[in-house]
Amino acid sequence: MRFDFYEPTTIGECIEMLTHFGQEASLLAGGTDLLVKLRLRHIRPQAVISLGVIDELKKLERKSDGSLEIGAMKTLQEVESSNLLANEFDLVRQGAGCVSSIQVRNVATLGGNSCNASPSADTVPALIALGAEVQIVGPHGERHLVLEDFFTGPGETVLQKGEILTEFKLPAPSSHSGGTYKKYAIRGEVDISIVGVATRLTLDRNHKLQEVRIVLGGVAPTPNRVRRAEDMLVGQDPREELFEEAAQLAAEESRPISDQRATAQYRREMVKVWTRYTLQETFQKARQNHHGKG
Amino acid sequence: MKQRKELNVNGKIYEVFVEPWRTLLEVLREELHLTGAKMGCDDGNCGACTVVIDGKAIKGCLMLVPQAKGKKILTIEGLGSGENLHPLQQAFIDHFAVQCGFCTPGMIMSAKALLDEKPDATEEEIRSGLQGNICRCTGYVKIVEAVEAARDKLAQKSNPL
Amino acid sequence: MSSNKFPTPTSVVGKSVPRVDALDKVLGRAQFTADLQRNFPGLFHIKVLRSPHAHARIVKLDTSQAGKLPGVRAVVTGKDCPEKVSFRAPRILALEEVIWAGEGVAAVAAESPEIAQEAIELIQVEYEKLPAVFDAEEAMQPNPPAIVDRLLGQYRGSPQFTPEAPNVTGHFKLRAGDVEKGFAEADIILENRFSTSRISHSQLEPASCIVRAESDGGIITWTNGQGVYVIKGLISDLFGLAVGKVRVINPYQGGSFGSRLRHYVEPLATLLALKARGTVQFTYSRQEMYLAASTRLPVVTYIKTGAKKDGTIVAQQMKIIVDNGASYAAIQDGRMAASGAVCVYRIANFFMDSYGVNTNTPWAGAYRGLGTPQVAWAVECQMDMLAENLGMSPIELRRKNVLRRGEKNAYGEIIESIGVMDCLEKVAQEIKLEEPCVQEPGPWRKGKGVAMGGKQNTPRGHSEAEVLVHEDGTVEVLYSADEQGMGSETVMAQIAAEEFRIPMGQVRVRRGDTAITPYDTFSASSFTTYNTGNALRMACQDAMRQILQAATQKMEAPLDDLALVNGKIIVKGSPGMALADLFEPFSIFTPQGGASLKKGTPVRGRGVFAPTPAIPWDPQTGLTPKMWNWYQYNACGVELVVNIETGEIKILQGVFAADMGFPINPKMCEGQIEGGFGMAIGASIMEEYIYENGLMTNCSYGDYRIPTFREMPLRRNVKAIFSPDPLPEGPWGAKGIGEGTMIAVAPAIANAVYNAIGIRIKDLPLSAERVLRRIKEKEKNDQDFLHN
Ligand SMILES: Cc1cc2nc3c(=O)[nH]c(=O)nc-3n(C[C@H](O)[C@H](O)[C@H](O)COP(=O)(O)OP(=O)(O)OC[C@H]3O[C@@H](n4cnc5c(N)ncnc54)[C@H](O)[C@@H]3O)c2cc1C
Ligand code: FES
Ligand code: FES
Repeated sequence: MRFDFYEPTTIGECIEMLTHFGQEASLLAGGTDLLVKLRLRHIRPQAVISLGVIDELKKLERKSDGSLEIGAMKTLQEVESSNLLANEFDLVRQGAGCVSSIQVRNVATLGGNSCNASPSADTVPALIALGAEVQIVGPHGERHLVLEDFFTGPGETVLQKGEILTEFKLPAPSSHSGGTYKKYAIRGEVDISIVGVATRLTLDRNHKLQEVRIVLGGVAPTPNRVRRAEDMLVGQDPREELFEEAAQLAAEESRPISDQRATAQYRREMVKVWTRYTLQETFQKARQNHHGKG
Repeated sequence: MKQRKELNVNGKIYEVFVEPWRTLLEVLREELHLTGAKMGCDDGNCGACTVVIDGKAIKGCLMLVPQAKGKKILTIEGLGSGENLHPLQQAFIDHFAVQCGFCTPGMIMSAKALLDEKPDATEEEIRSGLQGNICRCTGYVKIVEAVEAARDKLAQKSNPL
Repeated sequence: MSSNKFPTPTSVVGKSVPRVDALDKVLGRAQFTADLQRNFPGLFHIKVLRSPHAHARIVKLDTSQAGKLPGVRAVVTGKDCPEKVSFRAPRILALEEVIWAGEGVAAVAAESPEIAQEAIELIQVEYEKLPAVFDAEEAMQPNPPAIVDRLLGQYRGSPQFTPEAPNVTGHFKLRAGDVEKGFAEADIILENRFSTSRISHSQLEPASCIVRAESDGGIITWTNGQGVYVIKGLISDLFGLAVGKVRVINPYQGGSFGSRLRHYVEPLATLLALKARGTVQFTYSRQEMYLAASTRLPVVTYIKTGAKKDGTIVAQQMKIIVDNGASYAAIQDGRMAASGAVCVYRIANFFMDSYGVNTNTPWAGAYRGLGTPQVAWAVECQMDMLAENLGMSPIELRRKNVLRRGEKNAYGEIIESIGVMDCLEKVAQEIKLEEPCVQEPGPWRKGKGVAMGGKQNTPRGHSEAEVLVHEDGTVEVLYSADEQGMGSETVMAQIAAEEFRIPMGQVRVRRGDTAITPYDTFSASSFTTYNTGNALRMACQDAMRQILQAATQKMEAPLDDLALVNGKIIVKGSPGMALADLFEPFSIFTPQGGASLKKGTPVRGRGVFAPTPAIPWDPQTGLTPKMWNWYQYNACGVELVVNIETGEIKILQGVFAADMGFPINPKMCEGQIEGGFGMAIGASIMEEYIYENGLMTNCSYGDYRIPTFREMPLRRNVKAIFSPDPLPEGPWGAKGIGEGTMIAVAPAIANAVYNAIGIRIKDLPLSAERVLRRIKEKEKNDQDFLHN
């Protein structure tokens, strides 16, 4: 690895540099993915542009409408331990908390976890389940899209030349809801997920399932929702057998591959197991919130 | 190409002249000759390179040297001296938590950051807090024992009654 | 513990004194090989181009671009390597053919690692792929899909090499008693096939060396390879260097577990240092540690056991196939692994064929136990299966058949020290084997299991040691065996402190420098305490004799009345004198030569120990009164849970008992047990090489899953028990412990899994995927059974 190192202090300056270097530049957030890629020579940029001293990217704010904004440069450890993210947004904390080890979480960023676009990124299913939107800033201004539309393939995103992801926006969740993220890996946190499942359930006044999100990581080219399973549950009375059926559908909808970490068959089976568990757990949480808030 | 950088390591300011693509681990070892942090994998998985930056444990092999600018870096060399060992160092000796010793500096630095943050960490918390550090020799049993002993010792110190 | 046969240690031997290397290690001051690089400005760095193919002909290899890159000092290929090959090291670089994915094809020494890497990428190489063979059973056939190493027969020149089975590197036969007759008498016969995966030592410090070419044509090597004298011999032999001009120095080693017994960095680094006429460093990347360092031999074991209704085993037939990988240096002729089946049970009619076989997979070498854990895996699972078939408890069956002290094993050796059954009884009691597990609701099923095992010690030698006794009573210990972390420096310091009755702080260990420390082989076969320890005791006694001899004149007392204790010469019935007073100052008025001790000149004691040699076995029957030296024994009990939905196994409790002979430092013995237990958990439930077309795909600490804190039981649930049967000729009755600690764990785990879910898994590892697959198969079979 050989490159020049730049440290812009504003988003504007950063975009100028990015535009200038074009394909020859790589953005550095925490660097936990980037350094590995540089060392393996998967990429050979001329310029590495650090986002490290751009303060605008480090915010974490609750808006008056109850929504939340998280800057791309928040570290996973900050996310994991933030009180602002307790309760309704706890899913994100769960996702961030199971990335690798504390040493990694102390530097790895939430933005980096998405922008690296690994199918098994642990914060992504959680963010998608919460309906996260991303703000992208580039030479032609700002644009917004939902996170699930951000990924185009393994390691690939919609980001265009000169663009950076600046923040995540999490809409105010309904109070009668709950969310759970489960990472399944042989050695727990320190392994890359074999599957990751985030589920979110919102109950209506009659305790029926009003809104359902089931998001899978590690079993398709990008983290994605399993719509058939979600649709099947909406409007229903939550029941054990129903969750089991939904888990089965989720497994059928997943498109896993075999690699050094697991075979496709095993991954599919694990989708079934962990979707069921997360749905059960999430339902309990949603019900408690429901009771708690009357 | 090579740039002048200031690094604050173990309370001393060092000036180094290095390429920006060098990792903090390489610069500590090769330029500052602080070889306590070890390279076991160079890809973030073993933890042998752990140092503490602004109070937080990080893996030196996953950080470019410019990223450490302006931060306080603590390495095993700055933790204690032969006459004045940190309770963790003493406990690692007393409890035979050291075999080959290659994982030891990183292990101790992780444990230091952990206990600073959670002075009353339970065995479970110690085990999960140190999971980013691999040891192939000890089976971890005596490492957990040592960290627990150091925890208790530190608690006594801060709470002399 | 210590019977009358043994001198009772009175000072520090037998006590858990702190490790002598611990202070430097916790301070970050202990020097490992790569830490020394800072001392060599202008050092060249080595990188290697490796083959992605498991078997291919090198059609074109063009290094000219690489050689022209500024900063590159030397480039070498197989053509530059010495023709000579040694069984102590794999071939330095491939010539004509590559025979495993990961084999080195060309190497560069350059001013920086980056430049060396860039140069590597400029090398052009074209391969023509050849058929490859990955399966040892296929490879051992008369017409295998591929001949792994065409040169094998030539350089082995071994009678074992058979052109009819060109991949077979060795064949050990054991023919004890009459198996036909034995099986005829059996009430029950059980036949099974077991296998183990290829695994990696994964010691934390990668292989590393620094080689400096000296102006006079010699070299100095700093290396974390094992056995400084062995490396010295290897390098001078390979490169035709004068032995006296090769110096090898050994800093601390960051673990080995057998990996460093084959020398895979030193020869290439020497080649490039000589070519560069400078100093080079060569450190394996973690990826290279998986692709091109030593691995543990996968073994397939067929076992057929015949027993009487009362449990007496009357015959056993085994076929053992040991996969050496693409080893130019096939160490396994099958004999070592086979020993795992012989050393525990009394089996009069024993028929065994054990083969070493080459395949186009990463090469294998020594690994904590040298093949015995792989074979014990089969034997100990078989014992539990047999017990179940006979309706006996697994303990009772083992009790019935275990060898006792004074009995002959199947080789015909008389066993002098065997504490194995005691180990098992203690473990079974501690884990409450007889009490069934209480199951809880949910997917986790509890189970318990036990197993036991033994490991032979190779009578390899000899070992030398020296002590320097100074006038102030401090003692320097000089030896050349290794310190990989097992604590040899501490044991040696304890031995010297004990002999001279001085505090540990007065002993300084100097280790591993061929120019300073005396000859030794290496630390293997768990023999350092026994071999080097015995040599050191002799050295201490030698120095003591010299000192007391000098004292006889000064004190006018006969030798027999004198003793040296903690820096004082003690005479029966007199106040004694300080050691320092024996050393005379130099003066022009006194004779300056002569026999008396002189100030500033330490007394040098020397000891040489060689174990009693083996007695050649009959090649047709494998029988001999002495195949090995002694055996260490052990037993393990585990309690675990199996998740029937995911296939995961969690170890809840581990109890381990060891017969290591007399424990010189009990806490360090415990450390070996816990470490071996941890390592064995990895081998049992997670570790395996995953390949795509023969190329390992999980070659990182991230994807090759060695245990972390999480996989170990809580610390109060790991228990180490000592059950020593001291060995008469060991120092204070010590044997060894390092290797035995893995053997019984895997079968104990498999036996516990069977206990938990009623499924017998015969292939290692018991990975979550494999366990779940078997659970699903069983569910399906049970269903089919119900529906039919
Ligand atoms: C040992 C180890 C274990 C790991 N385990 C896990 C795990 O268990 N789970 C998991 O999810 N991940 C894991 N990772 C991956 C990694 O730590 C995470 O993906 C992390 O969140 C990445 O964040 P970062 O700030 O370090 O990103 P960086 O490495 O700095 O960047 C990652 C990529 O995104 C780009 N990028 C970063 N920020 C932006 C931005 N704001 N706008 C545009 N592009 C940007 C970079 O150019 C780069 O290509 C592991 C990594 C290592 C080394
Ligand atoms: S060397 Fe940094 S984690 Fe292994
Ligand atoms: S003591 Fe050797 S790796 Fe931990």
